[in-house]
Amino acid sequence: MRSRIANLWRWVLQRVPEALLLVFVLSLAPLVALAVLEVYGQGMRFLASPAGYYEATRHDPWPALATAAAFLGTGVAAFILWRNWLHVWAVARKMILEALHRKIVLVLLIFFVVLTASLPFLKTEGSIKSRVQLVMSYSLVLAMVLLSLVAIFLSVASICSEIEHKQVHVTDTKPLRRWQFLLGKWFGVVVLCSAVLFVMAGASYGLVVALARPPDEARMDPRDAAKARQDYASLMEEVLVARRTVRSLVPPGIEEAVQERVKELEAQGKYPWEPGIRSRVRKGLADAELAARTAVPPGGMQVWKFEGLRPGREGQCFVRFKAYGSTFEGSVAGRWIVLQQQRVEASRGESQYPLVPVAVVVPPPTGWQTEVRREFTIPTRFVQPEGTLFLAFENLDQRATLTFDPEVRVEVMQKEQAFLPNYYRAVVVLLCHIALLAALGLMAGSLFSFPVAAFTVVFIFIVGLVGVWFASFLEPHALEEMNYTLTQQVLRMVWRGFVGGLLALMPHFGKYNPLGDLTDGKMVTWASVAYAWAVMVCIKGGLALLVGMFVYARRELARVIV
Amino acid sequence: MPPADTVLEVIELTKVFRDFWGRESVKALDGLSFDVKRGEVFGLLGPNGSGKTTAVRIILGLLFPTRGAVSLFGRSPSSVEVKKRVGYMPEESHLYSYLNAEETLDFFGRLFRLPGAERGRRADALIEMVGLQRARKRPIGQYSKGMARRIGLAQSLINDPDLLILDEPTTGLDPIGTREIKDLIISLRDMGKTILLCSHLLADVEEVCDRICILYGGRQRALGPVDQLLVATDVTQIKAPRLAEDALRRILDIIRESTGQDGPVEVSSPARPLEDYFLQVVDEAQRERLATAGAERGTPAAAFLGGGRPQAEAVLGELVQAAQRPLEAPTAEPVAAIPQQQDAALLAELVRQATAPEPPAKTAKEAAAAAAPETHIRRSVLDELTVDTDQPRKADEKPNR
Repeated sequence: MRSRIANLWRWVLQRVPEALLLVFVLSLAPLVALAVLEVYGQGMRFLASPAGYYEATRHDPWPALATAAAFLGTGVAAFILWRNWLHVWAVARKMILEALHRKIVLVLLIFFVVLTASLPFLKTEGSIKSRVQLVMSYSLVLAMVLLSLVAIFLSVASICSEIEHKQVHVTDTKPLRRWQFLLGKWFGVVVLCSAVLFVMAGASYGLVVALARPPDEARMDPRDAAKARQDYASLMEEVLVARRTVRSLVPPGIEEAVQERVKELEAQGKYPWEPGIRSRVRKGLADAELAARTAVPPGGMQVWKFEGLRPGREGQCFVRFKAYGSTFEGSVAGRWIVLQQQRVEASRGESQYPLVPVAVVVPPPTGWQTEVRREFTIPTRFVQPEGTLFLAFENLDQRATLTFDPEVRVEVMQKEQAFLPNYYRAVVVLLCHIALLAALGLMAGSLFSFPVAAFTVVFIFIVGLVGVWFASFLEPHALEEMNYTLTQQVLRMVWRGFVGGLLALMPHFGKYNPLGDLTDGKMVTWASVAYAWAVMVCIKGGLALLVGMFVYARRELARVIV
Repeated sequence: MPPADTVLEVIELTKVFRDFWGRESVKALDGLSFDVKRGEVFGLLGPNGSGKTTAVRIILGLLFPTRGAVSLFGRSPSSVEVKKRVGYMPEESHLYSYLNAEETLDFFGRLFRLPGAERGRRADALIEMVGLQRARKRPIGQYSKGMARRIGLAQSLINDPDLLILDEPTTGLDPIGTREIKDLIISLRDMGKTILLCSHLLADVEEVCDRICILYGGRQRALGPVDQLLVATDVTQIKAPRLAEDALRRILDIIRESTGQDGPVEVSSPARPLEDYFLQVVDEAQRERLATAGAERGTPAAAFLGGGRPQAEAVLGELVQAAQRPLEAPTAEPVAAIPQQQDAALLAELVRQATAPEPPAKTAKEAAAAAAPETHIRRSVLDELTVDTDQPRKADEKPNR
């Protein structure tokens, strides 16, 4: 009996690599569909109005560029994989088999299952919304961290230990090019980790769906039932959804004003010459100008315009804003007014389109809280057919002036898609992280011996996690930094060039982290997926892999590097 | 370009290892040159640290030469086309310890782009050839050293190579395995394959090699056919049936007469090599089908070796028999000659004989003592003679110089 089980186990194990490959391919199939749809959409937009498309692309070239780079990089990678498939898959398959024999996957899954299963029992503020948010973000973060470490150690160890234990002495005498060997290892790590990632993400999704059940109102107290229903509705509308964010337009004339101020500074000899500080100064000036122009004094009113919303009869739009009051009250009295352009026949046969108030959002009894993001809803039917919306804030406070945050201004969020595609896109972005880490691991493994290589990649990983915070040290504090001596300036330039360059090469896991948006019910856009794919997998990952291949192919494999 | 029948050409190979600061730390090879012809077994000999392994690694492209060049089949060692025709069995078994024998052979078969069915066929044949049928599902990490060597040999043959490079093939192997490898080498040579053998176990080399190159300190000290290098022109060896003491004395007198009093003369009776006896004991155990968790006796060369060449296929059956003959011959005779109950006593004696006479160090001493005029007759050995066979003496007991 026991030997039959053992035989069965062995039989299964022999087929696991192919099964993982199948999972990998199947889980990437929707991505291909999404990409094709995206290209189709861009093509249609171009055909509809070439000039408009050009204008939009010039304004924000990243989605188109990232899509093109992702397609190009993936195409090249797929072609190379296809041409060298037998060798690459032989190496990848062996790597997966080894990992299975070492029971890495088993331990990983046990860790994940135990930790994730305990998540729903963690203490939260009690609402189903916060519970689902917690389960979703924690389980995905857990999967991400576990798989990142596995990707690093599998890739580093497989190169270093094969050199150290001299297995490459045999493998390298077979008709296998060294770059194929490295590519096979990368592919093996990616297939293994991403298949496991998709399995974990699927489990986590199942858990979320299981938790997000409508409340059983029949068994509840009527008051509790109402609260539970509201809670459930807010979960479905604010978390388990993909909402698109449209930020209010910047009022015209800001750029010109900044230009004028810059000229003034130049005339006074105060405009810095360092490009980094220049951009920083310009941004500071623009923010100050925007804040000044959109500040609402007591009794005043500021109108914000939104474009590109989706009109409709049903549903709600979520409006978010962040503002600062000029007093220390912590809140400001005021109300939001929805305006619409209405055609009015004026004299001499000309039409005019004045803004007419159509609805008022009643302020909370305590006034609008300042310095935090506030959110309210308005019906979608107020969005005009061409996708524009006008919102005005009327300051009803006696003393306080309200200044809007120049970064956030006012945002309108609309339901764009269901939750599942959004979740899928977020998981694909996580996959990009893992693919990059595997490439970095192989590069470090071909450069250094084991502990050094592992430390290097773990260091890169940590810097990647806190990179945004690290990079903030490089930012000059605007104008006051112009008074450096020449030596200080040169030293700063060298330091910034070095650290900045290093940071640019390193992965920015914080920057591409989709989990915040996902748990906020925000759309993880195709552009961000394409960007992560293009930058992390194709450019940085490809570069790391090329460096690794270059070094590895020129290494004396039989020589021990200590 | 080397001539068509030259498989491997090593030209003025020099390898210098440098330390971190670029200073020369070791000169592992110094102007080594030799070539290996198609179909010969070439031995690379030398004491530990003489540069054998470095030479092999450069030939395989694992190290790059500081000066000089290597040409394999007329091409660079790093060429993929060359690697398709080479098999390499490393000094120690550097294989993936988490994979089992089948998975290992399957992996290497895939690297040669062998189709699935062919991979399975070859893996089965090789596993049987090296006698690992019962251990085929166990991870290689759990193998004993000798078993790991066997799977190392199996992987080197998966592509039916034209050139087989064996680095210390018999270290760690039991006498059966050693015998099998030697037989395999001979039968592979007979199939027309070229073999480069790297060893310091002189007995192995002498038995199978056609030509040898002896290295010391990275330099080539001797190069040529084994039988030419080993002929001791200043010594005569006489073999005869067992002689009475009286006859022996007369022969000694004649020898002294013709060589003068000061020549070294030695009379002893040849002992059967322990290897033969060991093989016989194990053969008996296997005939009784005693179970072992370790390696079993392998079969001769796997059938796919020799490739699609028709004449090789035809010769194969014959070769397999030829390869088996040396195994069977020494075992059959003594069993018939010796009564069973004497086995233990005989073994003790054989062990004594195999260890007592002339280990290499002593040989050197005796060679030094030969300068003295004393005639050295070892009567004690004479008196102990109990068995006489027509076995030749162990070859490496002869002084080589």
